Order: sequence, then C-alpha cells, then structure tokens
Amino acid sequence: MTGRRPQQLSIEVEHVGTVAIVAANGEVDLATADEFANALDPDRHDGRGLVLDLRSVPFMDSSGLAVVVRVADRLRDRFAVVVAEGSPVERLFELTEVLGSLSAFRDTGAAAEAVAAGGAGA
Amino acid sequence: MEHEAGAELDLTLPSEPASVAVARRAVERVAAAHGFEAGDVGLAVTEAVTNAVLHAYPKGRSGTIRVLAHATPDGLEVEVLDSGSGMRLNSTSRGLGVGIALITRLATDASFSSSERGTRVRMTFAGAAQGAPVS
Repeated sequence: MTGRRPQQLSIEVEHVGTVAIVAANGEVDLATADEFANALDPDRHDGRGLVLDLRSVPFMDSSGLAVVVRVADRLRDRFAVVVAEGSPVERLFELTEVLGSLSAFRDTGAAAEAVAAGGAGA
Repeated sequence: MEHEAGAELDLTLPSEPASVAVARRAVERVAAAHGFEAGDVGLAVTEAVTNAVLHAYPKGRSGTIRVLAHATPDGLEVEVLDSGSGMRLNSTSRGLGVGIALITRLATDASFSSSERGTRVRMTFAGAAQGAPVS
C-alpha cells in the first residue's frame, strides 16, 4: 500500500480587512492541485484581494502554476504571491517566465499592503 | 563506478495522481545519490508522469506507468513510459504544453515518442559538474 501514501497540503486562511492571506504548507502537484485551487477560489473570500504565501511550499509543478496564473488573471492587482528567495517555487516561476506578470514579495506584510492598495484603486 | 548497486530505479506505478509524488521522490533519490540537481530532475519527472496520468489512459480505464532511472557517463537518464493510447503532442489540453516546455527546459536532452502502444518520454540530465561539459 506504499504507493497510496496520501500527500499532505495544509492551507491556512486569515482575513485581514479587505485582504485574505492564504498560506499553503506542503507540496502542490496533480494530487493536491484541486485542494489548492479550492482554497484560492476568489468566490470563497467575499470579494477580498488575495495574498498567497508560498514560503512553506517545498515543491510546485505546472498543475499548481496553472492555478496561480488563473487567480492572477482574475484578480489582477488585487493578488500577490510571497515566495522565498532561491526556493523551488521561485525557480518554477523563473523557468516558466511568469514572474513578470505576478506581483511577488518576500513577506506577507508588504504583499498585503500592495493588494489592499490595488483594491482601493480598482 | 557510475552504477552503484541499488541506485538504479525501475518502478511501475498505477496511473493515478498519488503516483506523481512517489515517482518524483524515487527519482530524486537516484539523482541526489549521483550528485545531480535533484530539484530540477524531480520537476521534470513530475511533469512527465503527470502527462501520463492525465492523458495516457481513457477515463475509467486503469493502467500503469513505468519510471526508469540510471546514471551513465553522459549523465542521468530517466524514462517515463505508459501503455496508453498515445500522447497527442499538439493537444491543447490544459497543462500539457507547459509540462513539455518545462521538461525540454530542465533536461539537457529530451525526446518524446508516442504510438498507439503508448508514450515514452526520455530525459537526460548532464553531469554534476554544472556548466563544465566534458567533450
């Protein structure tokens, strides 16, 4: 039964004013992408902007990337990601050349400020 | 000395999402044991196995995916094989294009062959001495 070991992805959500901070912890691939997408669904956050904290995601593939890009396309300047420098997630974003179209930060505070400002300007 | 006993891999997995991580971890272990960039190898293998899980077998039909890895003097060779209906490389299916683009970007050499008997993705990752190819 070793091939069926479930993968762990935990998601924590915190609503701070007009911003939802979604922190993912665990690997994002085909097995966990649906759960990841559900947590990020803008309809679940009452119109708030979204900060996606990926600093505790040690692995992400194109399944996860597709979710991030979809949310970014929908929320535009009311969406930001937080990634650790030199992390596998940052490497994926660089390889697929999406960094230029994502608002990326090193900490959630700065990301939340940017998203709140984006919402105010929208 | 490239072929350490026990380091080579021949894994047959059910075609299902949970197999992606199983394949990734197994190949990453082989890559790390031989001094290759395990993260890049793991991402490429993930994309190849994901394509197989998503596209090899018609919905409702079970199947298997075979993952092979071994180190050679030229680098780490990894193969992902299925016995499905063949990958449509020009398919517009979600994710397929990005996955293949990542594989070709991460691997030093990558080839894709597909027929009605299945699909084979073959990837070579150059040696651990990065940026210093031996001619």
